[in-house]
Amino acid sequence: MKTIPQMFSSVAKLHAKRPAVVDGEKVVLYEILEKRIRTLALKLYRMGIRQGDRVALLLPNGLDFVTGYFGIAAVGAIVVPMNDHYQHTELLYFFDECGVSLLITSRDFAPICRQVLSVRKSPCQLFWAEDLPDACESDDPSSEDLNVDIAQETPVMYQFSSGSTGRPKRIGRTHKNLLFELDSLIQTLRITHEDRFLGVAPFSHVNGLMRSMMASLRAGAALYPLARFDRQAIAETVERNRISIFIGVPFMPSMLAKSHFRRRPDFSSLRLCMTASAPMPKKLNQQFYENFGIYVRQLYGSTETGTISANLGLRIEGSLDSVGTPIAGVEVEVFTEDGQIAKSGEIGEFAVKSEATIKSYDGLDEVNKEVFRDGYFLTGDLGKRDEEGLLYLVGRKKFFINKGGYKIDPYEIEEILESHPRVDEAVALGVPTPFGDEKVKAVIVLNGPCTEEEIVEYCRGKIADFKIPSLVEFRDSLPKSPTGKIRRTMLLPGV
Amino acid sequence: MEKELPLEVERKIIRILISDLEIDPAILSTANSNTPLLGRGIGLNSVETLTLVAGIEETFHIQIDDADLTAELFTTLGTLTEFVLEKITDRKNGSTGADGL
Repeated sequence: MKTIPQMFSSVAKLHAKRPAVVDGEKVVLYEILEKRIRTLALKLYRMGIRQGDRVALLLPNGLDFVTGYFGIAAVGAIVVPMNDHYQHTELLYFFDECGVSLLITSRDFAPICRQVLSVRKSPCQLFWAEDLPDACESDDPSSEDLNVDIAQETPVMYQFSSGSTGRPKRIGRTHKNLLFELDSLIQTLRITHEDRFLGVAPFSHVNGLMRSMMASLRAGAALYPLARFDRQAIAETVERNRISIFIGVPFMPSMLAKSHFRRRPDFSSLRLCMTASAPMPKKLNQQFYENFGIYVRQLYGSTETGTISANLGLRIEGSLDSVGTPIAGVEVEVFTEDGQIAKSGEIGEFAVKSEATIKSYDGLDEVNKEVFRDGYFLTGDLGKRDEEGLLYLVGRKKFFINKGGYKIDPYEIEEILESHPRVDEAVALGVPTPFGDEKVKAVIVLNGPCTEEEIVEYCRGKIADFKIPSLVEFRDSLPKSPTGKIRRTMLLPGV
Repeated sequence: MEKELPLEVERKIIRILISDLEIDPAILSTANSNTPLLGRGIGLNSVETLTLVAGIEETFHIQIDDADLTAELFTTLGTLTEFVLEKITDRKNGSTGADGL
């Protein structure tokens, strides 16, 4: 099994009579899904799509997305999954950047797609998902052979990673990359064909795509996609279908934990509830556990590397903040700034080596030299490994505060500040000095009376003197993104 | 129990917009029942509307179905206030609205 289409065909044969996708009332067996995919692949082939062509997929989570993804891959073309919230300029940029020659979408998106295609210089065909054959009435396309021989090292999809260099970087992950990640996930999370996945994290993003849609279909499990985040729909889907795996983003379980349901939903079927892409707030994790009887575990990964680690520890209560240990076949090293391997508990940059990781960014030689070294991909994420081998993310490289040449991690200061009984939330920032370095500033939300002097005094002895804030500002609240991430840049001087 | 007045509900929603969504109070200082919540009004996106709804549920002790969260509901602060008032009345009358969760 060398490619994604081969992988799916083999799973579909093995689990032919089992449900592959349950989209609302529509239950689609593996054998039917395979026919649907082959029918689409033939249609694409007849439209002139060949190996290496780029085909964009602009659809919400659902049966059509799954069919589109594997249909494009089956002709050897490259899938370009698009976020269905993208606007005109974004779509145009990504289409041009990838050289998209066909777009599979739904008529719901017709106005924006027509607008984009009308201004685009290169021609692009449109295929409406509504023209896909009904899953239950699919004819047998096996009489025609696509006769495609796909190399394992060629890209199967393009995704984008936002980075400090400005424009999003195009990432081409190969068949080999994806198969390696899927097999690692299945082995580490012990996924079987008995599992039932909730597919609510967007399939257009690496998290929902790999850890819900692809992992489910690789294992021969059943996938229950939801087109959008809807608390009641999630609760009903989990309860009614005895969902066993729910992998989302922290916003999802956080909102479920805060919600007022008419009666408490039964989540007892969940054996794994995990989040990735951002830290899961501890208080809301505890609330989620109190409401639903399961803790949210953290996963860590990136678009370049796929999944890196997962927290599957037995003593989860004591390590809710950890992103766990590397998944099967993935090597993680923590490097200090001078390139040495960090000691236990010492903060450094996470570097990843695995066959799921891309080898380079297309056409970005300078960036490649910086981030691909000695077989490792340097993630730009700062973290530490404790004595038990658990990984903890503590920040991004760019958030260092430079105090007289000392690089201070703001999260270390924040941890101390937040342990003060009167402090609800705290952010540490670097404020530029006339001497070219920075002084440490703390922006704090209090839950009771406290003075600046008390804060500074509290830090003494707990952290090195050069890390103690020299400026303290009290605020009623901190600026946050809709997903709860603190907007640090909005706290910088002059903003 | 005393009846919630539209203006009180409106004021509490504004408070949620400030505290939970970090909307600049200066932007909301001129808000009234005709202020649009989406687009060129306050400019909430889909995730922010959910955060607002969670805050409303907590403040008014009501349940809101995500299926009811249409763009029409967020047309203006007034349309949302009216909806919240209906939910409060339902709660006081002991009606839970739709079945299920």
